[in-house]
Amino acid sequence: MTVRPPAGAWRQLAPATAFYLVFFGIPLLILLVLSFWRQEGFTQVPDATLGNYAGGLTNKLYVTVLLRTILVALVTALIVVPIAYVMAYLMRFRFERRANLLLGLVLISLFSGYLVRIYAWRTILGTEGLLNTALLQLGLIAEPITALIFSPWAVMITLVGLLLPLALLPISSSMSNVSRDHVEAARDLGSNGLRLHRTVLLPMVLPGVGTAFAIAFVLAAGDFVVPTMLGGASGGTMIGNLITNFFRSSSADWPLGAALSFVVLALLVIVYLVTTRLLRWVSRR
Amino acid sequence: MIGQRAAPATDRAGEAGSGILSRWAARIFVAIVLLYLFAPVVVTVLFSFTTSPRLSLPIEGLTLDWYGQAFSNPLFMTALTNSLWLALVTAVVSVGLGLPFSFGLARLKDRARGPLLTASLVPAAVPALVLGLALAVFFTTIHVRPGLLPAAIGHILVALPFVILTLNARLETFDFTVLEAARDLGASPIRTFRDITFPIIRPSVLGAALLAMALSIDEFVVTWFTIGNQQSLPVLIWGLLRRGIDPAVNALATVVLFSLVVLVILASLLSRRRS
Amino acid sequence: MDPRVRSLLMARLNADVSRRRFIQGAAGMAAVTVLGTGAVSAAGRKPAGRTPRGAQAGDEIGGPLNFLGYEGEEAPNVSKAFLEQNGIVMQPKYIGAADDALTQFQTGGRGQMDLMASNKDFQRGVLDAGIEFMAPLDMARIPNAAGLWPAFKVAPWVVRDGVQYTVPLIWGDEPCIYDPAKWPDGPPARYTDFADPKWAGSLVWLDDPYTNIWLYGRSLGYADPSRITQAQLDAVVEAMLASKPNIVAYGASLGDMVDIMVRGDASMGIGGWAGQLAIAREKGKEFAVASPAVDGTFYWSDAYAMALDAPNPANVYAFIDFMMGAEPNAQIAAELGSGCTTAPAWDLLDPDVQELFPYDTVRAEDGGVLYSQQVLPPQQPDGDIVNTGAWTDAWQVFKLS
Repeated sequence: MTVRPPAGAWRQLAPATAFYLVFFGIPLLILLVLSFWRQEGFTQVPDATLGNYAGGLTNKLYVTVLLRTILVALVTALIVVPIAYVMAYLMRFRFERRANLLLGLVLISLFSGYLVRIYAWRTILGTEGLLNTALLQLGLIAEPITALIFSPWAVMITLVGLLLPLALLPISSSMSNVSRDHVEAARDLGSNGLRLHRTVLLPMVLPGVGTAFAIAFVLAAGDFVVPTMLGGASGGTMIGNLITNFFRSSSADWPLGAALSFVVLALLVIVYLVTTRLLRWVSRR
Repeated sequence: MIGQRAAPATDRAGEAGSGILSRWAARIFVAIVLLYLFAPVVVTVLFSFTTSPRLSLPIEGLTLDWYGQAFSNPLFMTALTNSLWLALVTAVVSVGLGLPFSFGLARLKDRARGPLLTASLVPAAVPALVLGLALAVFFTTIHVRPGLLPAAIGHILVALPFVILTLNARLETFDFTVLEAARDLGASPIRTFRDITFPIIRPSVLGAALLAMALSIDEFVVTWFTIGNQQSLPVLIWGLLRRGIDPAVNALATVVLFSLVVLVILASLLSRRRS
Repeated sequence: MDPRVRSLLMARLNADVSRRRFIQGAAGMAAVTVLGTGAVSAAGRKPAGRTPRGAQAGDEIGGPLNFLGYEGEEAPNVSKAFLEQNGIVMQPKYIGAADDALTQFQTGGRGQMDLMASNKDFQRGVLDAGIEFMAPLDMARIPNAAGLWPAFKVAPWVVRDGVQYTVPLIWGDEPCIYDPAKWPDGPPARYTDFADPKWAGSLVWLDDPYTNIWLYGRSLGYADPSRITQAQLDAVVEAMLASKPNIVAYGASLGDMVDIMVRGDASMGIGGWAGQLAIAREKGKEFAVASPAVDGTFYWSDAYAMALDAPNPANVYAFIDFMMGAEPNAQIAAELGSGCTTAPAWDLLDPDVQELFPYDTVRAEDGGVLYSQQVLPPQQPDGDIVNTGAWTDAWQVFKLS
């Protein structure tokens, strides 16, 4: 590829860069500054206080919600990623001919409407819902399982359904760069089963797996719609709901909400870094 | 090599089982995953046609009444118009910004390109909640009231990373020597673009635009924080969902679903074509 | 059920729970537009010395009538013939939260709004705070209002300093709604009894601090649960927390609440409404309403008002007078599943509709419980008495715990 003088390149990069700076950089910056201000009555007062961070992190209730969110998001991601990995593997190396069709189906499920898919799980998981009705009629249970709806389980089940396609895409993309010959050669040399994946395949698709984990984890942690619709009284508050509440005027505390947002962002980065290091360590041994 | 092909492939469960078992295990696995992914979709579509107002079995009859109700909701037309407007603006602007950006990226040396590409994907890594909040606070600070325009900006922010990703993938293998040749022959930049560049990349551009539209039509969280009292389709559906069972919502959702599916299919078909 | 009646019921059922709240912020959906207390926000926006458009023309009946209030209370079915006969064109805009109307009034709506409909607590708060919003009414132009029950003639959200500002249209209570197949005896005697383990997996509450805190405050024996100290508020939250393990979910609206019950995910709802029964019946489920024997429940009432500087006052008066007539008043009460506000209307109601609400309360000379009862706490702290902000905070703490 020919490299042209970068001068022209900057001119082309400028508009999008300007857009990002103005509508992404600046708003985040404002939010960051806001997290150091104080809420008084209905307005925010400029200040330079760590009070919001301190208050947020020492409040037992908030910390509980934060930890619960991280746990749910972690478990969700740990369920989603392996399933996505297996699915991507099968699509690439087993059902090659239909790989495109399968990928297409996955994409279609992804774009079938975020809100409505969530709401549909109420019909599936409800006490008189499809799942319970089916299980009852099959005689597998005697009483409907009420714990499936309006609980942390409902939240997790729904999140897995929402995030699986999103996690599948990057892993699938990475896998498509792995040649069959390479895999078969490794098998010829005696690598089999789990070992094959751990020492040969996984290192090659690690970037994709890492991305998939990041996507699943970040989206699960930040979601507030699923807990609202399906969480009920016992699983209904994740950190997303908590933060949103601080921006409602009836119990407004914007600086606190802003501070919590950045705490969450920081935590997400940390968890992501830790997990990718872990993955790399696993695949090197 | 033939022997290798016929040998049972291993799966995550451990050592190779008998060929047929592994093959069926694989099929069942894929089937279950697809079932899991499509269950909510099937439920939505199915119950938009059933007569039961309770969204539960048994299914007594089929009807198109819910579609009639959905369409006669006065807010529906408003929401539909707004969503279409937003989708169009998002597509045009995000391609308008993303295409030059991708070209610029393609011309940079590798060392600058990698980080810059990653940087352009950062908005996709931030939870939509935080994006929405940041934008809401931003607009309040500059005294712009929530509405369609702020929502549009939010949509563009959401779509841009994906547009850049898509176009960048295409432009990485773009042969710039053709452009140089045209230049040497005296063609103006505009003419070069119109007659040479664009026809080549048109499928990808259209694909990226359709992707942007799909992202915009389905966008809820960022929209919710920036659109104020206005309606978009997801915002309308959210409002209706908060009210209780109404199969008309299913009808509405099915309509949105099919349009999104069409968009996505077109987008991927176009992205893969090379003219 | 008649589809028009059904849609009116649905409108009420699906009104955002926040309609009962004072401070909510514009339309609830916009999480960001923060509303200051009424008198302060946007005060400077109104141009000084503005005269209402058509000050002369508004004296005649006919032409537009701009309505801003809860959906259904502009009574499209009931008033159809009347509007046509008088050449009045109703132009309705609906609100979710009560203070939406105030927001609109203060941000350019003044001089363009005519008829309004909203709830008693909000109207009382406005009158208490002396906010410029509702116009004094010339009751001579509303002769039918003479039929109002005594309670509605003297209530603090209707009359202030001898001047009348609102005309009550409908009223009702907030009982528990339940599945009699599962709970033949209905709700327990007190709300605090819901802590009993037998209610596990059955309860659905409304996602509204004011309803729940007030009801549990009543259950703890506070004389006026709307005026409590922080210590008392903490005690109420404690009592609510005792019941929390039995709560399945919070309904986002009355409609959402009945949705959850119809699907069988819950069987006892607190802070419900008689209109939910009709919707449940339509979906094939027979529910019942009742209030705890000892604690009872609270009452609400919605009333018409006229905006200050209304451009079409003649139409407003004519319309309100019409709705106070016996038949229209009875019809709107029946349609909206509520109590009627005038004695002549009551006579026209079917016996089973008459049974729905305790009319003795409103027949009482001193105004009965409707007059004295206040659900919302004050906007600003009053000595030791905590305000709405404290209640919403307490509700957040409750939901998080």
